[in-house]
Formats: sequence, C-alpha cells, structure tokens
Amino acid sequence: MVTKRFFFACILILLAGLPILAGCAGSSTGSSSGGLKAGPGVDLNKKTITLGILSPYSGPVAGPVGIPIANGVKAFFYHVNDHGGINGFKVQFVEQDTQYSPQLEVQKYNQIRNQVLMIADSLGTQPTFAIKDLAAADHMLVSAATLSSALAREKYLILVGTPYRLQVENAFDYIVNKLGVKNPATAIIYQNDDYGQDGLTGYREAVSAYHLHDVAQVSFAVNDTDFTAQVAQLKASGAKYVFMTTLPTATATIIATAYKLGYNPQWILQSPAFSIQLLAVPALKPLISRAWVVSQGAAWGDTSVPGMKQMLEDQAKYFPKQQPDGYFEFGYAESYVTYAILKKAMENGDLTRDGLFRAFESLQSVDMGGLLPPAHYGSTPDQRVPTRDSVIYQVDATQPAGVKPLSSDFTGVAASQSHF
Amino acid sequence: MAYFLQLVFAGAAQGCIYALIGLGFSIIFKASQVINFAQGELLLVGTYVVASAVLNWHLPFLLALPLGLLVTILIGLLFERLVLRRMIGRPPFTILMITIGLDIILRTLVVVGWGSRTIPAATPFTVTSGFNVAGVHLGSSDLWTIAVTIVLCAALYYFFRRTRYGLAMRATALDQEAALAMGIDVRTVYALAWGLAAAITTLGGVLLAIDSLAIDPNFGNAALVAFPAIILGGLDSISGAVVGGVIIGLTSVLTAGYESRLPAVVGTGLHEVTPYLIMILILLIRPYGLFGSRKVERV
Repeated sequence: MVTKRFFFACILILLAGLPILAGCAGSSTGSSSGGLKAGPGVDLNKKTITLGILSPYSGPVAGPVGIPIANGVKAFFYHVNDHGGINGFKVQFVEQDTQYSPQLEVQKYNQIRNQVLMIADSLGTQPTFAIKDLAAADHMLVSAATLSSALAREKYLILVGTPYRLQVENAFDYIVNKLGVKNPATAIIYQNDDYGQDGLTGYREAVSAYHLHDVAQVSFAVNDTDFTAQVAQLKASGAKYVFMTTLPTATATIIATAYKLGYNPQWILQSPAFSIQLLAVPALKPLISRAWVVSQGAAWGDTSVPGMKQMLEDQAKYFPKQQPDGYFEFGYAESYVTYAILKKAMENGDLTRDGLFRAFESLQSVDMGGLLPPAHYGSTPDQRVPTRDSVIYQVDATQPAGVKPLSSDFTGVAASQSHF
Repeated sequence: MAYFLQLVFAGAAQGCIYALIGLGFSIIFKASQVINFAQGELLLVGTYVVASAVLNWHLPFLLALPLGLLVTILIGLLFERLVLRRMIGRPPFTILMITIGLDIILRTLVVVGWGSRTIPAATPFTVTSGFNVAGVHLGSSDLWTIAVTIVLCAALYYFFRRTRYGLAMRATALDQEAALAMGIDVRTVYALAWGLAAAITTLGGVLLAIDSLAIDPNFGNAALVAFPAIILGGLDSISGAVVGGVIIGLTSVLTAGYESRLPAVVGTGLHEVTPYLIMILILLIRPYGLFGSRKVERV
C-alpha cells in the first residue's frame, strides 16, 4: 500500500528533478551533421539559424531608434536568405520588446537564451549592461547597438561604430584643429546615466587634450521635463560650444528653452541626441538647423558607397514604409559583422556558441560596404574598439536623412590615443 | 539676481504644472478615497488628442483644447460609470489596482493609435513669445500656465464653497453615509469628481507639452513627478496640492540651477532627490502633509 508520506516523497523528488531535467534539455542542444557542429538556435535538419533581437518595439525609444535598427538588421538577412542563405542555411529571428528597460531586457533574454545562437541586436547602453554577464555565462555573442566605451571591454559583446566618448573628443578636435579655434569656451549638458557618463568622460579627456576653456558641466535627470535651470547655467557660463549627450526629446526641449532665453551657442549633438523626427516639429526645425551632429558613416542615398545601392534596394523591398534613417543604416551595417561571424564559423564547421566566438576573434577586420568604416577587432580592450573616426554633420532638413557632412571622415588626436 | 529670478519664474511655472496635475489626484481622492494611478495616462491621451487636432485636423488650438478635455472627461466618466461604480464598498487596494489597469490600457491605446514615435506638441505660441523684464525672460507659455492655475484655483474655491455640487462633494468626502442620508446623490458626486479631475490634469499636460515642443508615449510619467507635491501638501487637500506643487517646482528648479556650485559628490543630480527629501522632512513634522486632514478614530 502506498502511504501518504511515500506519495509526497515521490512528488518532491519529481519536482526537485524537473529543473535539472529542464536544464539538461536546455544545454544539450548541441549536435552535429556532415562535419558541422551545431549549438542552440541551429536546426541542422531544417537548415535554419535562429538569432535574437532584443529591442524596444514600444516606448519612446522604439520609433526613433529601436524599430529602424531592427528593420535594418532584418532587411540585411532577408536579402541573405533570398540569395541562398549562408551556405544554404536561412536566418530567422526571435524578436522581443524590451521597451528600453534593463529589467525587461534581462527577462526577455532569459526567455530566448535557449532558442538562439547569438543576439543580432541588443539596443541600448543600460539594457545591454544588464545582460552582459548573463551573455558571458552563456558564451553568447551579442551584437550591441550601443556606443558605450565601457561595453567595448566585454568579451562577448560586439560593438559597431565609434564609442560616444571618442565622438566627443573628435568633435572638439574638429573645432580646435580643423576650424582653428583656440581655447574655445565649451560646456557639456548630459543626462545622468551611463550614456551621459560616457559623453562626460570624453568631454573631460577633450578638455585636457585640446586645452578647452571648460565653463560648465551640466547634468539633468532622464525624467526632467523643464530645463530652464540647466540652460540658464549654460547661458551664465558663456559657453560658445555646447556638447549634448542627450536623447531626442530632451534635445528638443533644451534647444527651445535656450532660444527662449536668448541663448544660441553652437550645439553639438552626440549621435543618439539627433533624430530626423525632430525636423518634423515645426517650431523646432529652424532652431535645430544650426546644430551639428557627430556621427559616422555614409550619407543616406550616397550610391558612390558600394553597400548603399544594395541597402536602398533591400529597404524598398522589405521595409517600403521605412523613411531614410541613419539608425536603419546602422542596423544594416551592424549585420555585416554578424554575417561575417556566421560565415566564418560555417567555414570552420563549428556553429556552436564557442565556434562563433572563435570565428569572431579570428575576423580581424570587417568591411561594411562603406556604410560604416571597416571595423577591426582584437582581444585586448583597446583592440576591441571597432572604429575611432567620426564625421561632423550639419543638421539640414533638405537632406534625406536630415544631415549633411561638414567634414570628411577623420580620427582626432585624442581619440586615436584614448585608452580603455 | 536676474539668474535667480529667472529660476524662480521657471520654478513657479513648473510648480503650477505640478499643482494642476496634483489637483486631479486630490479631487478624486477627496471624493472617493481612491488614488488614481491612471492620472498620467489621462493627461497623455488628452495631450495627444489636442496635438492631433491641431496638426492633423488643422483645428485652431482654442478648439482643439476643449476637444482634448472632452475626450478625457468622457474617459473619466465612462470609467467611473462602468467600472468604479461597481466597486463601491470594495477594498481601496482593489480599486487602486484597477486604476493601474486603466493606466496600462490607455498607454497601449496611445501607442496603437499614434505609434511610439515622438510627435510635435500643439502650441498656440512661438518659442520666443513673451517679454523680457530686467534680464528675465517671461515666456508666454509660462505666464499662461501661472495665470490658468490662479484662475482655476479661484474657480475651484468658489465651486467647493458656494455651489450645490461643490458642497455635495465636500459632504461626501467627509461622510459618505451621512451624505446619502441627506439625499446627496453620491454616484453623481463620484462622476463629477472623475470628470473634473480628468479635465484639470489634461490642462496641466497640455501646458507642459507647450514647453516640451514634442511628446511621446512616456509623457504621462510627468504625473509621477507631481506625486511628492500632493503627498507633502496633503493628499485630501485641494489647497495642499497647489502649495505642494509650487514648493516642489521651485525647489527642484532652484536646486538644479545651483547644484553645479556644490562639490560634485553632493551636487550631481541633487535636484532629482530634493522633492523627495522635502516630502520626507515635511511628513516627519506633519504626517498628514501641510494641509491634510488628521484622522481621529474612536477605539
């Protein structure tokens, strides 16, 4: 006869064993066929590779940044799929809405970690910070759509583009060395988070490297709605060049507040501070048109760049409603690196996560069709900075992407010497 | 001196916005003892409707504004009629959770209806409209915000002191059962409170959006900033919401204006915590807020 105690003991053993069994199921996805080793996210029978996208599809960052980048990533691989895939393997995506929240990013990462071979797009400095240790524990490569210099040190994170910190340094190199302004009165306004701190680090390095006359370093909270105090400080400081490590909505309010207070310095926008959507705000359009943006890469529609024609065709074919947008271009360019890793791993016969990491380390340099300058990757933190160059753009509503280049692509003295 | 006065003016205008949003919280709490966590999303919907009416349907601002108010009043009334009325007598926590549900529904509706992109806010002014006095710029939008708040406070004072429905609301707030016994239609009072609160909060949102120039689906978070204001003023006090709003607005802007003169370890981000520090300090001295009613229970 089965006693109650025996029955409950069996239930307990079963419940205790379930997580172990589940863990085994999660980690025993490796297999091999035809000399090709495969890890999670690879189906050798159906010849598919599943990649993850962790991006805000709702919330304020979704429209201007998250969705265009994700569209760029998908357009790149839809094209690859339509042209035979990678050695016959088709790429598919598991997409999760993170709402730009670190907590949600972790939750969504944990939901998909056993379904994907790597993360093809993780948007945002703070969300990516939140999953970097989890990704390292899983040996999961993450293509991060962030330019935080602090994340360049991470073994399993792939950055594409010049970090924020170096963008700031290049901006002041342009003012001092290209325009020949000596000891300019400068200031920075930054949001009080990791993104802002990276801009501030670059600003402080630039002050020292270029002997800037630093007159103000002003911060604001992400939830601030009134910027009168910050702008009044900038005005009182007499700064002629003000660098903005902000996001588009704050950019709009700060510039409008300054104009209202009769303060009109040369605004220099960190790349995420600008969005072409700002030009759709009628009252703001004339105010922001004097501003500069520090970014890099080919101007939208410049078909003299080898990769531009293909990108425009893919955008028209797969995302016809997508407006000209630097973030779409970034997502598309970012995918050149992911593609190169997958291709290399395939050639090595190892489509496991460790195989992908070895492939990434052996890449050295990736050509991104001229959409962004070639990225270089090594194993030390300094070598993990993919690019150090920038282009200074002028905001220009007549241009397809809302900006036109003021300078050629260049790397300033401070940015070339900056150590991470 | 001009610098200080500029900050005081901006702080007063910002405080008036908090006061308007806080009034919405207080009116509902006073009438029904419910903290409405959907207040921010009512503000969001109203602001989006006004923006769309001006930019897409090309209505003049002065027509778009009542339209936005009407939409949020209707949402408030419908919510009260269809949901809250069935919850009378249920624990306050249950009702609070329902308002959180409404908050999520309204935000989702905004994303579905307008998308998650940043859109231009409706404004009747140019950015520079206003005038300068002794080096201080008095912007039209800020002047209007202060004027609207003063007029509205006077109107509410009159409403609660002199009108039949205002007195009914006060009686209901004091003792619901006694009010019923006196023949007051408590359901109408609740509906009135929700409609009034929705309209005042929306007005605060529209005035805030004028200065922001652009709005996005996170715009409703502005209501959270008003929260310390109503707590320190006294949750059930109309005048407390106004005084609390102005105190929070002034201290927040003044701290932001002077924090860079403090050592970095103290100054950086100080204005973010100042409203909460003041709130804690005042609650330590007056646990029911500056103007809140002290509850006495017979045990």
